[in-house]
Parts: sequence; C-alpha cells; structure tokens
Amino acid sequence: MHYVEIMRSRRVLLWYTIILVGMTGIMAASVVGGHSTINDAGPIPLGEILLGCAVGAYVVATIVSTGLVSELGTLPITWTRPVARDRIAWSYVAVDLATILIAYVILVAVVLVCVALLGVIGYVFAGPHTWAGFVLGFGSAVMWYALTLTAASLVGGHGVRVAAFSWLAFLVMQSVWEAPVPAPIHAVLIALNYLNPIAYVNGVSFDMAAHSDRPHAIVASLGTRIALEWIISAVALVAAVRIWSTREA
Amino acid sequence: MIAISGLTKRYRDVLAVDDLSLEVPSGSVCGLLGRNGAGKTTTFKCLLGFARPDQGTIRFDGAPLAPKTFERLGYVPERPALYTWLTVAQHLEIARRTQPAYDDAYAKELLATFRLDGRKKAGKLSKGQQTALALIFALSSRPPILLLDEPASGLDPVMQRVVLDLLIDAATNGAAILLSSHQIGQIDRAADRVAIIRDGKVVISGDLDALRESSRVVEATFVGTVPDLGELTSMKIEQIGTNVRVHANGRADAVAARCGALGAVGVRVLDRSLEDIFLEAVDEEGDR
Repeated sequence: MHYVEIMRSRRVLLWYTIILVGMTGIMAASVVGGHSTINDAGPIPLGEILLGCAVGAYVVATIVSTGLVSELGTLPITWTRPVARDRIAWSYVAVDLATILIAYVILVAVVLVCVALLGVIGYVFAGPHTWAGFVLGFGSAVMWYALTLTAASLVGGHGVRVAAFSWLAFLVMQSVWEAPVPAPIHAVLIALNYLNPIAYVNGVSFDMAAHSDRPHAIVASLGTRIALEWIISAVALVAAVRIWSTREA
Repeated sequence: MIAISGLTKRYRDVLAVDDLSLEVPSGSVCGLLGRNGAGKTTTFKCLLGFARPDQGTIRFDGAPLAPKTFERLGYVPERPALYTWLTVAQHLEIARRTQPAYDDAYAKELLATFRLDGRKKAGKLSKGQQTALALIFALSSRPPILLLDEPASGLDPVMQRVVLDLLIDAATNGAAILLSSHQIGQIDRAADRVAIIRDGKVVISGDLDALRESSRVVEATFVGTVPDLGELTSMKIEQIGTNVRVHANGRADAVAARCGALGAVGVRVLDRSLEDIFLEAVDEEGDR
C-alpha cells in the first residue's frame, strides 16, 4: 500500500521543488541585476543553515502527515489488502519520513546554491557540532510530523485541519513562553514547549560550540535535545500507528 | 464458505446486529435484504474487521478473519471509496501490487466491459463509473469470497445486468458471495439464497426456491358462507367476503386439496414474489 503514499509524496515533492527552484531563480535574477549583494559577510556556521532549513522540512512534514489519516476515507481499499494494518501504517510512515528527509536536503542544497550566488559560500564553515545541526533539524521535523499524525489519528480524520492548527499551536507556544505570567502558568508554558519541535532548534548556536546566551524554553544540552525530540517522535509514531490500526470504521 | 454465528454488535444504546447467524456456502450467492438501518452495513463492517463484534464468530473457509484472508476476499462498498487523485490504471496498480492472485488480463477485460479509460482520474468518473472501478478492483483477483454492499448502485440497467452476470459466473466457479441490495430484482436474479434482516436480526433465511415454495398462498372462493376451516385455522388466513387466502407454510398442495374438500368453488395456488416475501418480513405494522 505504500505505493499510494509514494504517489502522494511524489506530488508534494514535485510542487515543493518547483516553488524552491522558482524562488532560487528569482534570487539569481536579483543577483545578476545587482539588487542582491552582501558586502559585510562574516563566518556562517553550516550547523545554523541546517537548523534554519528545518522550516522546509516542517512544511512538507505538515503536508505528508495528512496522508495516513486521509486513508480513513478509503478504508475499503486500504484495510482490505492482505497486509497487517500496522504494517501498512508503518510503510506510510517510512515513506513520509523519507519524503521529509528529501525535502530537508533539497532546501539545504537550495540555500547553499543561494549562498554561492551571493558570493559568500567561502564564509560557510563546518564545526565539530555541525552534524548535530542536521540531526536536530531533521529530528524536529520528524517530531512535528509525529505529533501532528498522532493528533489527527486521535480525532479520526480532519488531517488537514490538524496539520494547519499545528503551525498555529507550535508558533504560539514558542512565542508566549517568555510572556510575563504568574510562575505556575510559566511552568506550564515551559512544559508545553517540550512538545514543541520549534523549541528544540530555537536558541541553539553553532558559533560557540552549541552554546548560546539567547533565551530558550528548553534548557538542555545539544545531546539531550536530540535525544528528547527523537524519543518523543518515536513514542508519538508508535501511538499514531496503534490508534490508526486499531480504530473502528 | 462464509459462516457467521451469533454475531452481535452494539453502538452504545443501539443494537445494530442482534445474534445474527448466516451461512453462505461456496458456489452460492446469498442476497442480504433489509430496510435502511436494518444492520446490513454493520454486518459487512464486522465481516471485514472494520468493526469489532461484541459477540459471535465469523469464519471464512473455516478460519477467522486475518490479513491473509484478504488474498481471497473481495469487497465492494456501498459508496465507492477511491483515490480521486489517482487514475483508473493507478488503482489497478494498487491491486496488482497487493493481491497475489491479481489477473491483469481479466482486469483489462473488465475495463473494456465497463468502458473505463485507464488514464482518467477516479475523481473525474461518474458515480456509475466509480462503482464499476470499485467492482473491477474487487473482482480483478477472482476472489473466492465476495462481499458486495449495493454493488450495482449508480450503474445503468445494462451494466447492472453485466454485474449480476459476473457474480453468477463467479458463483458458478465456486465463489461464496454475500450480496446486499435494495433492488430486490437484482437479488431475485442473482441469488440462490436469501437472508432478510430486520432490526439486526435475521427473520428469514434459506434457499430462495424453498422460500418461495414455503410462502405460496392458496386462494379459495366459497359460495354463500365460508365453512369452518378446521385445522387450517392454525395458519395465517385473510378473508374478504367469501374469498379466503391461506398462507400455506409450504403445504400449498395439501391446503388446496383441503379447501376443495370443504366445498370451495375455485381454488388457486399463488406463487409469491421475493418482494412480497420481503415486504411481509419487514412489515412491523403487520406484527402488531
């Protein structure tokens, strides 16, 4: 059954790539026209590019997270295949994770092309923690996907609405935790951010070997952040698959 | 063979299926009849594992439902559930990739029969064409067990006939087919067995010919007054003036002879249509 999800993912990646290539083209035209130049470039940590590019993976994670849940509308096909339901669900998850990874890599490539077009590719440097930028960035997209998928499975459909709401929820959670509120509410907001993929990449700096003075909701080392987001993702995916494959139609 | 025993399914306060038992042997088409909300679709859902029965057992060729069962089971839902953004050919590709017994030549033959264009997206098909695609999807692996919930809805009369003939062919080749339809004519044409359900319970089931035989009515006309009918009064009797209709419970010939002996001037044995049998079975007013 992963054939259906491959077809769905192919469509998503095609449009995603067309949009990115279009944007790159506009930027190239701008550079050629002399409208875009950087005169005072400093060192650019590759790790931060990798973290920033997670945004593209978020967009694709949001879209593909609706795939499995939308199968609830075609159960007479999906659930009448001679394959265990949880295997069907895991095959969808595998295709979706591969799609998110491809989307992530495409955006990283596009950003590096843009940096090169701007003539500052020589300022990009990789440090000892650069790999962590990739694992953390991709992990936060996986976490976004897993949490959205679980929520959509719980409500039984309405995948598109849940996916759209995830942006609102995560962005609001990320922006309100610093609000001047009473301590108990502040504690709740901090706790909620542990379920917010954006919070894991926020405040991480690769300038100073993954340490930053910027305030962030999740006070943890890079390794702990990575471990937490991947553990939460794994638990959420197991829950989503379980909910999806044992529900009644 | 499909064997359902004591199937019960409750949704909160609603008893959707109540102790339903039914057997569909191989090589047989069993028509499942019932009014809207009688429990037909819930029965299908339980058969397919879409809903968990509260009680009862379901067996296909002696084994309970398992993922492997779907290698031998085809299902056509009441409303075609297709991927509107995939083409007809891509739907068949799904069947090819997932059904070990997928028969490509047969699928193409069915496409031609239903005049479906493989390049057309499912969302652009008419309702009848979508139904046809759902049928082709289910039939393309020639499954020996078929569950069909209103399989001919939306099809024109010519295509309805084609579908029924396909089902009869499948049964002739040994398939066990459970067919639900509101169009009693379709059941009458394709089925050799029937089960009528009301409020989740099977009220009548069995061989269609035997059912027709047992439901024949004897109409007798007497002159003057109707005599004491003796032992016939144990049967359901309708009387209008000197005309008497006796529901003979499978003893039509004996009842006709008895009416003659009682002095009836005219005796007719009337065959009853499946529609008559169905309407009487589901007529709740008639029970009161």
